[in-house]
Amino acid sequence: MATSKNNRDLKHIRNFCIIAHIDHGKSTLADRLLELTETVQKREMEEQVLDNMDLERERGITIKARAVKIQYTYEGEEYILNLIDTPGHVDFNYEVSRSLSACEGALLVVDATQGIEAQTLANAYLAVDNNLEIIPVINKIDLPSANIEGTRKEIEDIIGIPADEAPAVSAKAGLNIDEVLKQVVKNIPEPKGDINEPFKALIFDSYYDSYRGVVVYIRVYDGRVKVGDKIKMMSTGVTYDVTEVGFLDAFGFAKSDELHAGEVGYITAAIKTVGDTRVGDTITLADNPAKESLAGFKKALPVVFSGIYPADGAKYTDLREALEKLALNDAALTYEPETSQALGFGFRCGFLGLLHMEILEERLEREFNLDLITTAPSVIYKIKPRGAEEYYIDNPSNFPTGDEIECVSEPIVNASIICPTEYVGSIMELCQDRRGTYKDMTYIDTNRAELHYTLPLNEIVYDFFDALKSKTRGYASLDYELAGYAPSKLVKLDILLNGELVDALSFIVHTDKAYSRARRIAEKLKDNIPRQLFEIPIQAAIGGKVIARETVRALRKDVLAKCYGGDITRKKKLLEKQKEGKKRMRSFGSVEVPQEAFMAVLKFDDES
Amino acid sequence: MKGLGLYIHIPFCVSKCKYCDFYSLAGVDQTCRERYVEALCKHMCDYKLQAKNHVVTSVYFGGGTPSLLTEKQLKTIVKAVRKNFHVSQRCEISMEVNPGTVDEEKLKAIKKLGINRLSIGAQSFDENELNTCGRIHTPKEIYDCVTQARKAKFDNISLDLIYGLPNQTKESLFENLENAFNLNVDHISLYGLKIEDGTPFWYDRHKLVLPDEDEEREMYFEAVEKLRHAGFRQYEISNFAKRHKACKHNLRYWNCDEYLGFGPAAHSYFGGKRFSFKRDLKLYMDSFDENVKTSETLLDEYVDIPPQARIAEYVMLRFRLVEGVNLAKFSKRFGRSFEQLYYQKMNPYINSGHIVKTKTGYAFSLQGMYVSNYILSRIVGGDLIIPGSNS
Repeated sequence: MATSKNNRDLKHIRNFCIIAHIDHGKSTLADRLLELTETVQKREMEEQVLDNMDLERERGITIKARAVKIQYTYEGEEYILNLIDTPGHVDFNYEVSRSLSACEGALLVVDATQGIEAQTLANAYLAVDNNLEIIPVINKIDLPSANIEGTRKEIEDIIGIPADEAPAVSAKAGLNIDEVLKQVVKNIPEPKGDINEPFKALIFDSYYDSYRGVVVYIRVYDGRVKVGDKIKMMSTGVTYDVTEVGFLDAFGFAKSDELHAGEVGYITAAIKTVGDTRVGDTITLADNPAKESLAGFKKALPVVFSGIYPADGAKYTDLREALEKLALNDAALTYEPETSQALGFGFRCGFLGLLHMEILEERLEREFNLDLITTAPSVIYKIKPRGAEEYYIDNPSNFPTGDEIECVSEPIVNASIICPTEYVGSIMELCQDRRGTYKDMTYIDTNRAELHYTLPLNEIVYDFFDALKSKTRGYASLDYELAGYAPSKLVKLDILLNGELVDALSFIVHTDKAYSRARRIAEKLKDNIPRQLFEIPIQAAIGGKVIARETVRALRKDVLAKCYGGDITRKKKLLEKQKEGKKRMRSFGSVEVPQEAFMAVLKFDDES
Repeated sequence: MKGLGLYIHIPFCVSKCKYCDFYSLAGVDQTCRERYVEALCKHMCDYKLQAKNHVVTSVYFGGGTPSLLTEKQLKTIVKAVRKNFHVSQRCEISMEVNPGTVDEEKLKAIKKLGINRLSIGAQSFDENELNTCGRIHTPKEIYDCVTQARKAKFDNISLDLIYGLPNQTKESLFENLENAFNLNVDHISLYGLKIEDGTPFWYDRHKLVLPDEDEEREMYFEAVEKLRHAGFRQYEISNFAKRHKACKHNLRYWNCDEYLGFGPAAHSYFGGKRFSFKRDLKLYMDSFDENVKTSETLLDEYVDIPPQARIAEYVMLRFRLVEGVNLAKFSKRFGRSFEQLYYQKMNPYINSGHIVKTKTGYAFSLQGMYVSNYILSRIVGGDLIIPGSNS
């Protein structure tokens, strides 16, 4: 339902978002806010209302940004609070910055049992950079291990913002939620903007809806927009006729007559692809354009690459269509056709990070019912040949061999790790093992420390998260940002099965670690390749020199001795089962390799 | 007239052997056995019309322990067979016999009923091995059984042996074979022990000292060689016969020919359908007792085999035979070329020597036979799947 006109003055609008480290209760707090303001009736509440994707609910993470309009009465006056949900994970930082730019304030949720974590800091700094008013919210106070005062002090000491008035809440138990809303109204500034200026709005998200076309989320800065207006994308000059404007409530779209300065909402204009609505672009009106566009965002660039292939080669077209569909709503996902001798036709896909990659793969398998084989993740290496221009590669297969190389560089990140002090030793060990360079360490309090390292991204994309978690029992948190390239001694490690090179298993590794990784991969493959009619030698080689070798023994016996009393069902079932198992196999020459073998190579666990 | 085989299941045993997962019960009393024989006869009567154009060329009494039935009970069943089916003059009628459950007199009576082939469940001639398996007979009882059978004028006697038993060595297996050779039997079945789920061996599987896979393989390959030397031609993975003594009944299974099974857990292939009855003696007897009302179906599975799967089944079963697939017979039966259908899929295994081209068609080599599941699943595995069936 449309809001009455008199409520729509800027004084009664608050645009805010919630930022937090993963698992600190951001989505639960959002649920409570919606529930308390009766935006959603309690009986209709599902957990994590804003997280529509099954995957988001299951993993308890928010992947895409979303916006919801909340009505709230404070001291007799009705306010409109626009809540913009943001993801918490480092992979999705660009989504966070997009959301922040549409707001005037942010709730910084901190788990009172965990205190400040790496991503709390990263997100808080993003908010500060965007000139947002930050309201710290101390969550999970219902838990026995909650340390409210300690958390307050951490917020003041580490982030440097006052926290004496920070509401102490339990989103789960619904404690003190009203106090949060009060502070939103009291402390977050009203949006600025002039309704009489030419229409100017920032695109902070967009996605493809099969009924409406592209739905564009906007924050209006000046002027107003309504159905029938001819809008113009300021970066491209392309124009569209607006077909619908409105807000989002917890149930979805709520049409409205118009959107005006200070408001957050959506428009549709029969736009065919999200590519036409670049996030960060400014929209204005074609016949009364704004003079200059708003400051946009940097396009999020993929940093992790992996080959994705259909397990069944015939499903290539299905995979392409699935990627096309996912890319409609995920501007950060890139994909290009690639051919592997071993795996046939597939795609080289680019991701923002490992979580982004995992989520995309899971969505492909789940939502599009595809069986995938993915290659080990790679980063972008910089190759400088002697006497020639330098170039970049994102596929280990293209790694040059021979002496014509002057220098190979790899991407480096600045990493910040926050952990209980008792784990500092093992984290240093881990970082050292992953070729990290120690920068500094500060103590957050007597119990926790923040470590800074530079690390090769190449080391992080394998199993750094897993290793970090297992070494600290999940108590450490990590944040990182790219910090350029550094020359490195890298080699390509090839895997040969039965004497034949399997290009999809090649990967790039630092010389010092080549030997141990080669051995481990050979062992993993041995454990994951079932026995076949012949002995299968597994070799790991650098430039033709074999540095590790294992053997899968030949199958000794696979026969049903007795087919008794004409009961052939049993034999049939056995053969059918084997046939089913074979579906998940890929043949390389005469060797059958199950998908799991590829997966196993991705994880270098138990490295201690 | 089409040929037909009959399988008659006798689900009674003195005690259960530790490796056995066939449907059979120990300690069933005479009253119950009588009632069971009655049920069998009624069941056969049900097929009288459907099989009126078939001629029975083989009957097989399997178990369980068919030799536990009395002469009278056996006679009743044989009479019912003759009453309800056309039985060929040269019909092979086999019966499984366990040593220690029969004497010369009983064997003579059995012979008199027209049963002309005995399959003796020897399993081993080693006292310890027999004990480990939970067999109730002694090595001596095997000798006695064969000797008495000869006296009763049986000229077609088979012995069952198992290789790969707990604590078994190659030497003891070969001794078992020598013993069988010395008894001058006509046929030997040599089965590899498989630990089946739910059997006593399965529960004890971690305690059992079983030959490792290399030993087991050597046992089989060397045993095949010894059997050949002793005049036993291998005609199937686990079956070896002197000239003209291959088991006609079992050949029906491997030829995809029709057979009807009677009794709980019995399987049939008839009129293009494969079906079986539940593993439930009481339900079986109740189903044929007009004084008992049962609503539960006796059928366990019932699958109409579509043409593609019939071909795949045929290939799967024929490949159990040393003869393999005969090209002429195949095209006569299905009107299609075997090579056109399967050559491409067989090719890697022909190249590797697991499948060989014979004068008449294609067959497994001995190496191929020993890994036949692996290969068959890759040749016909996909075609065996019947959509919509839960089997």
